[in-house]
Amino acid sequence: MDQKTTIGNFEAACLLLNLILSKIILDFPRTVSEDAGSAAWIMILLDSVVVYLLFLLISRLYRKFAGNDLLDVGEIALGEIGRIIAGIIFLIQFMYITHVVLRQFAEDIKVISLTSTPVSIVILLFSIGMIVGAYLGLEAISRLHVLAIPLLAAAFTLILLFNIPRYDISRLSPWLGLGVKAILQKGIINLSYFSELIALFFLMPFLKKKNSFAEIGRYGIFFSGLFLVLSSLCYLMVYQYPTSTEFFLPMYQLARTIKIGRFFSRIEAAFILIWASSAFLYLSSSLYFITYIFQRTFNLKYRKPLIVPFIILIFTLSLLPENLYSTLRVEMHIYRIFSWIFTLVFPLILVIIASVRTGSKKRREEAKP
Amino acid sequence: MKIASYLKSIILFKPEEPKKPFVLDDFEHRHDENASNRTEDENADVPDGDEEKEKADNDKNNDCNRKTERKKKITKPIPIDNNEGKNNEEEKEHAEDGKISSSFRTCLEVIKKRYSADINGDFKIREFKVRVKDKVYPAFVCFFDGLVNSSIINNNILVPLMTLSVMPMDTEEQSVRDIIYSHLIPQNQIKMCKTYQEVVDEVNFGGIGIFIDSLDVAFAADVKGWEHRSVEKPTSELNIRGPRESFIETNRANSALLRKILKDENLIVEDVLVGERSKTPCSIVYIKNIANTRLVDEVRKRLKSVKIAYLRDSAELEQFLEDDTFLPAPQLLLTERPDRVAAYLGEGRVAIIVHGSPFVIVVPVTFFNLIHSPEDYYLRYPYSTLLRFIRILGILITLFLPSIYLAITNYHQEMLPTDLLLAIASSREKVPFPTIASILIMEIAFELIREAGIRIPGPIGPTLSIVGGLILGQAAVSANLVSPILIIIVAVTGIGSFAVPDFSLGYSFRALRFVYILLAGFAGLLGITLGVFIHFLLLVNAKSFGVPFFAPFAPKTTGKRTNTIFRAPLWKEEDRPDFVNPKDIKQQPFISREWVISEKGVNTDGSEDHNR
Amino acid sequence: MIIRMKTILIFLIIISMIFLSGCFDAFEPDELAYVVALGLDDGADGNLIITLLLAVPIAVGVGPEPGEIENATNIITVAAPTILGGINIVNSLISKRINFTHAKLIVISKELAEQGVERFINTFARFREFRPDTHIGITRGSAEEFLKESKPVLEFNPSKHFELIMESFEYTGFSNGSTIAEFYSRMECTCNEALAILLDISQIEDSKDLTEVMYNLKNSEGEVLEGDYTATDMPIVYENKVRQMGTAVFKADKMVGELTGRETFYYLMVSGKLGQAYYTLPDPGEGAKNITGKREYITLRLGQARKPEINVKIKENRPVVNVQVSLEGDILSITGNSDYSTGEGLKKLENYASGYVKERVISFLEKTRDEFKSDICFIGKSVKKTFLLWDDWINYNWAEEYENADFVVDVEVKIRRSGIMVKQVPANQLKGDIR
Repeated sequence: MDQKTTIGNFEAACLLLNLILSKIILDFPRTVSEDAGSAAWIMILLDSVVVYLLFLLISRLYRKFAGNDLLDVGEIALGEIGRIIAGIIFLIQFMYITHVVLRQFAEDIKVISLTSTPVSIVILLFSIGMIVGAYLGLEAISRLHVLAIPLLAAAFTLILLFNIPRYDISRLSPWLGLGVKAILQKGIINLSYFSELIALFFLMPFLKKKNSFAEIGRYGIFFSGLFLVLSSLCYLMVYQYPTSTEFFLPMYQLARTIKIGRFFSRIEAAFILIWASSAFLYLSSSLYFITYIFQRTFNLKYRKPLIVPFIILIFTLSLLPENLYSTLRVEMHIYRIFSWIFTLVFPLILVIIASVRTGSKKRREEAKP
Repeated sequence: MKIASYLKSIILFKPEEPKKPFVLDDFEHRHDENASNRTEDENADVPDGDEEKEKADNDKNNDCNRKTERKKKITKPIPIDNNEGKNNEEEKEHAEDGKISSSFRTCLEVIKKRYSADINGDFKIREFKVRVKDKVYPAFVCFFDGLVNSSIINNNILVPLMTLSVMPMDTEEQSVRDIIYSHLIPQNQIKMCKTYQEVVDEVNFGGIGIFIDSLDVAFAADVKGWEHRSVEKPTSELNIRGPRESFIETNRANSALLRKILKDENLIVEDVLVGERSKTPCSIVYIKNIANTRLVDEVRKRLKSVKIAYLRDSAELEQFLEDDTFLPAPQLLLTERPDRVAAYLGEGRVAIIVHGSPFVIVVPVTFFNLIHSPEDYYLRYPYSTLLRFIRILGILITLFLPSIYLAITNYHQEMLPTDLLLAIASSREKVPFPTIASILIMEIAFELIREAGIRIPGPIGPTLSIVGGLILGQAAVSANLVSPILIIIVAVTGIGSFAVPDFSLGYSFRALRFVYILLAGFAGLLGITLGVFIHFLLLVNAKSFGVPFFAPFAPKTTGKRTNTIFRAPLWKEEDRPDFVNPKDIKQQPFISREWVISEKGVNTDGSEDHNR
Repeated sequence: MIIRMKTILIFLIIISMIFLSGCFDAFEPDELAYVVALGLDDGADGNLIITLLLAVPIAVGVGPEPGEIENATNIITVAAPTILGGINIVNSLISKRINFTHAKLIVISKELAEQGVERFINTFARFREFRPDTHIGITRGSAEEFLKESKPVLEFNPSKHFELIMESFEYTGFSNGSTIAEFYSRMECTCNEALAILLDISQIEDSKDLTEVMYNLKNSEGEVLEGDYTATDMPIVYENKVRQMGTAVFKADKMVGELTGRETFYYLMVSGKLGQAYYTLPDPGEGAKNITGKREYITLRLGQARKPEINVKIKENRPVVNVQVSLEGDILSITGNSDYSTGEGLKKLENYASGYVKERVISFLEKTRDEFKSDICFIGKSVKKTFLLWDDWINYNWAEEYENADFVVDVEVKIRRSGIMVKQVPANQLKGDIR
């Protein structure tokens, strides 16, 4: 492992943003509107606030362990077994979301552009990018994020801006959508949209300034919350509630309707560049995290030899769902219901246990002399 | 008689032995090869061998050996001395320790032997007598004809030595050596040498060696006078504004050109010899109190560790110094403009001058330095910003236009305006090749024209470009080989590639556009995205002398990014680039135009501006 | 060794790419046949009669001189139960592959539209190649005939022809430029109903017939202003027989009625989509009729001064719709002697025009309420805004409530300028004074 690898705050924030936000171009605006109707944006706004508060709590507790990742915290909390358990849980979490997202991106590309190319070849293309990214390591990936994220954000904003002629605020009414109960109930499940926040805790050892993680997390949550709310809001302003649940790729649908004059229309194919680069960034960084967690969990000496076995595993897993619908189901009905427990609650518990134990240890040490 | 001899010749016919074909073979080399083979065999045998000690040793070294194995095979150059016959005991002694003998005869012998004076036509030895303290010493000078300036030798060395020694001087108590050194050789650069090697190095580089009997030293004077180009206009980095001098092939002239601009005693020109045989003088140039010491150390370390037999040009040195050989972008900047190098030195970078090359290496560089042109600084701010914008557009066009055209016409037809699509479809109606084939045909044809245009003798050049450009394109269209729209694409791509200011970077883009074409042909825009992802991943991962290649942006550094993609007004460029880690970050004070009314409405002399 | 493996791997990838390239989705632009317009007719036994209008690229693009090839379009008609099924049949017939990415117009026959369009509109929303900005039109006769009669005269490029024609409502106000995206969205909307462009083929062959046509069109007031008719009756003689005028109104996915060109103008006015269009109204003044008894007219260029404000209040379980329309315009021509360019005249004209437009807007709204029972003017939006919960809104059932709506309309017309003349000195009066 290259211990010298360091990444700056901006790099880390960009990495975090892309991890959380790449779901916007998948199915996020649709799924939230399914859950809360025309009030989806309120739900996601509440979720962002809750996650923000939760993160403030975690980061306050975590300050003691700055510079250590969650696995170290697991080790502090429960010893070596704790580290291995935590490692396996996060490994499964990352593996699961990576293979689902890989399949989704491949289906995405297949639906909008390469309709008759076998999905395995599209996945293979993505895998090549993932291998190269994971091979070159976190430093290269995070630097590429710095170059790409501003462009992606600009392109995303452009899509929203070009749709201004089609916005209609009244489409957001009825204002509370499917009701307060639905918003609150589904809101808890939808905390899972922030589950990639967990990556921040694995970036910890690489940060230049150990204590800046709280700042990165705050900015990351703020901007990802902003973009998530914006995307669901704008999507709902163009497609009213029941229609909004119909489209497989909401942002693609928004890009499709852009028309400015006779020449500047039908440009959604250009957005494949955005879709695909966001996908490459997401997938390669999550493959990196998978190999990194595996290496750390089992205290391995080298990371790079893990890349090929894991990519083969993910490749095979991603080919398992039979069709588009089951891919979506795997994500919506299984992953999202449980993932927030593993990514937000579990770390919180770990950190609490760890700080209690270090606290008691310190007290014992103080008591000894 | 005749018949007999004829018959005899028939009967006793013996085919002439075939002449041994000339084989350029080095006995020593072959021997070495055998040796290395043998050692390999030994290594292979050892594990089976019964000697336990050896086995243990082998196991122990195994890990370390694996890495050095490849290095072992590299044959080291063998010193000349080993091949020479060693008949003269004395000579052997001197040749071994290399000390200059006090015997005039011996010196002459050694030098003659060393330079093979009997067959070396341009090596000249002149014997004469020197008279010091009323004593006559035999002496000789040696030099290469053509490398030295004859009149300097005559006037500054031979004349004083042969004639001036009769002049009265207060030199009674001084030794002969000192008298000669301080009175008799009125040449500005003179060196007292203890070993033959020192003299030989000097003589090889246009010096003159002076040997005088009874002295155990020799003098080496610098009397360079070889033919070289004079300072001319730059040929590859042209500009309209700004100075028009360019470097030439001489080391010192180049450093003088830099000093002429910088006029700073802190400008250090540190000499390093590179090349096992060529001993090419190179200079590390930096400003002592700006350039980071660790950077200078790194440059020195890399330069000194370069093992090359003959170093001819800085472009060769570049390939020995760069961080990554396979990266599709240059990591060092080669420029022929002194003003550009001076600007970079002022920012805290380091330059390397190689004798014999009109290009000077600047390290470290970032991607953004490579897309800058020296003219950017001499033009007013708005113009140069526009220029840079156009240049970046040119780069994007070179890289992506053919592949995007291919991706859109083959995969995403809906993106084109209907009129254009119908026009493309109709123009392709009679073309037999798929678009990817015709793009490749035309791009390769273009590269051919370009390559041939450089290699072709001068007067024919324009003809070729007319033939290539006009007739080929026109004919290809009318023969229905390609569609006319494709010709436009290829032409624009070609023009775009000329807008890349750095020659080496331009090559990289030209080569990579073929990769992008293949990727676009494979998977349309997705393929292009894959290419961009990998390409940029490699680029951001690269480092040039420890500085990340996309430095001010990825990783984001805290300093002001005034001069990267676009330029800021010159008075705003207050900081040196912080990724170079200069010793002094401030280039100019915050208020660099003191005559300007400050923002708060207060003049620099304290009076208030009420008109704001 | 590792390096060698790497190079081998890279070479393998590159070689596989070369072999795979062009295998799957790549189509050369000349391998595709671009559909410009698609017609749908009702066939027997639930079949569709699908008519494709294909562009012939060599007639449009470079190659021969424009116009050298007689037809820039090519028409194919096929019967099949679904659209794409029909396309499959056509693909086996013609040398190129049908591609819809540049389709500009979908024409549906009125017969089919009245049976309901959802079963094939779905295809347009689901299939990637259909563009959301393709216009959708209803023709009274058969769509096949319509496409056959469509002959661009000013254009060589049929797609540009359709595209420009369908966008012309922005400066005529006689049509609505409905697109697939808009149609689909409105069809599924709970507060709004869909509409489409009304198209037809003209039966008028000769300019001599125009008098008769105009006579037949006369309304109760005995006058026919421009746009007081639908596409069928347009009094125009032109080489291209295709006409566009008016609106086809839907309720859910079924066509329920037609609006004339003028009514479409009021629809655009109320829904806030009116561009700048010429609008003629009869002269109210003393010189309203000249000596020969002919009516005098004023032509204004009208546009929206502000977006219309629609408020709905529910009084006694009946929605009361309050519509405020503010228009601004220029005087372009006055055929009579009265001068409305200055002072009092201007005020008079403004008041008269406001009243005139208001009357017609109300009757248009009542028509949508009584005849179509279909809210096409986005009135439901402002009702929806008052609801908090989705279930409440669905239970309220706006589509039915609309039938009970009352309309209070307020129209304000402001005349901003009077062309490049500030006043008009009537030549006849001038001569009379001298005499």
